[in-house]
Amino acid sequence: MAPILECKGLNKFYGGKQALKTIDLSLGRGRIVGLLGPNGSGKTTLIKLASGLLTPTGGEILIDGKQPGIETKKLVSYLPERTYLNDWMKVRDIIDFFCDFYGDFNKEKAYDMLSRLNINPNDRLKSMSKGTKEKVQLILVMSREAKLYLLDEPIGGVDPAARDYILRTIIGNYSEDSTVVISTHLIADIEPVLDYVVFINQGDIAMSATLDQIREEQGKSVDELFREVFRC
Amino acid sequence: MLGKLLKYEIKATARVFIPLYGIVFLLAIINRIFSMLKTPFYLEENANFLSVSANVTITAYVLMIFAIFIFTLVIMIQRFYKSLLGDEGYLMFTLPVRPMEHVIAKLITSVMWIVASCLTTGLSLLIWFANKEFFYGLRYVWDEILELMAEMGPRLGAFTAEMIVLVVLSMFSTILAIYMAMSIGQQFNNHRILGSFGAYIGINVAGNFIGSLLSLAFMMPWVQKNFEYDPLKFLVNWIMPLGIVIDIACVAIFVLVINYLLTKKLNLE
Repeated sequence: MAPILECKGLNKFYGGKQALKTIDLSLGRGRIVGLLGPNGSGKTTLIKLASGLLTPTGGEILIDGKQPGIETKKLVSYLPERTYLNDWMKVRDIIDFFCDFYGDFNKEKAYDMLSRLNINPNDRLKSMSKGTKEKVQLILVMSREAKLYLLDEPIGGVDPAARDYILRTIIGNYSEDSTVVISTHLIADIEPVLDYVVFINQGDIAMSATLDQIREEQGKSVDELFREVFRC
Repeated sequence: MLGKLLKYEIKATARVFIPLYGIVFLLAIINRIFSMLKTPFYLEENANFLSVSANVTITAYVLMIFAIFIFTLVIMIQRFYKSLLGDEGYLMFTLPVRPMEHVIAKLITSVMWIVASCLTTGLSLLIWFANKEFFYGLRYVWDEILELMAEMGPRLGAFTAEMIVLVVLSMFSTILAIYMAMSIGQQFNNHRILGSFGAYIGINVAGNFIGSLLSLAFMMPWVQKNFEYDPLKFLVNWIMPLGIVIDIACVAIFVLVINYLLTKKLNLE
């Protein structure tokens, strides 16, 4: 079985600026992967390439062995680092929208999570705070039964209580063969849920290892190791 | 999936157009009531409350008609730029849908609103002015048209069909040219809006250049020669079909370029 996400000599330029150096990476199924790196290191670029919002300058990126396209978009549930919902719809309408377009969307799960986080499905996005909108987006993304979840800064803007609930949801939600990629710099918060870590720095993969390897070989927590690798 | 996209596209735009159309119809009804109540304003000796309010609602009506056509254009551009190339594009382009389906859904919706805006204008004028004299006038115009149609004889059907095809195709190519300009503008790393405007001007200059070159070199002598003895036959048999072919070529080129840019060269900010 092909790895769920694979990069072969992948690179990306914005104009003359190189955002990703030629990288090779392979992520297996059934893992929670931390994509960790300082701001501007290329995390978002990598995730946007995987979701097909950017096209590579060179090399290729494969999802389940296929280049980004309709077939991979059915498998990938992507949470961007920005608000991508229009503000005139009600939460209920957006849930119907997701239901219409994604065969793997679980409506019940979405409504259940909304009520857990005290969000009224009849509210319009317009009237919501930034944090609430982020919660709605995360609920939409996690209500899909996808093969690969790409979560770009999923907990950055929400309060610590919701953060805990969200992390529990992420672990509780995903099935055996699905992979969750979480990009963040809030390492301490997500460290307990991670199986695998990819350190990315200035567009290059600085390290990729399982959490056990890091603990055994380095004798450090991911947080400590991060501070060491990315010392300013 | 196209059907679903269309459903959401119409929903997203209807909430702007339906209220606008509602206001236009309302103003038409008010204008009609005023026109029944008072003598025409140009016969009034002195301004009174009624004539002033009537003038206000007439002005408002005219402005609203301008507004719906400006909105038709603005929304056409905004629905492409914002919902595909802006932040909402992050959602639209991660849906398991071909990029071209998005474009077609937006194209069909735009054409639909252009037609609806024209119908609204016509219908609202009817609401305002329809009376005995109006229908008498309309009947007169209709008779003239029938006469003209009779003169065209057997070519009438072909002429009408070709005309409809030409109008629809030219709407498609006009809108697609705007979409293509925005897709080209999206290729720039900075100044994407400026790039889109530049691309639009470029597309038109190139189109005009090729058009004039062709018409100067081949068309003009040929048209002059043939137009003299049976202009209608020449129009129906040659000029209009040629226009259709050219429009189809334009639509095809625009579709290919847009599809290439949105599938192979997509780079959302």
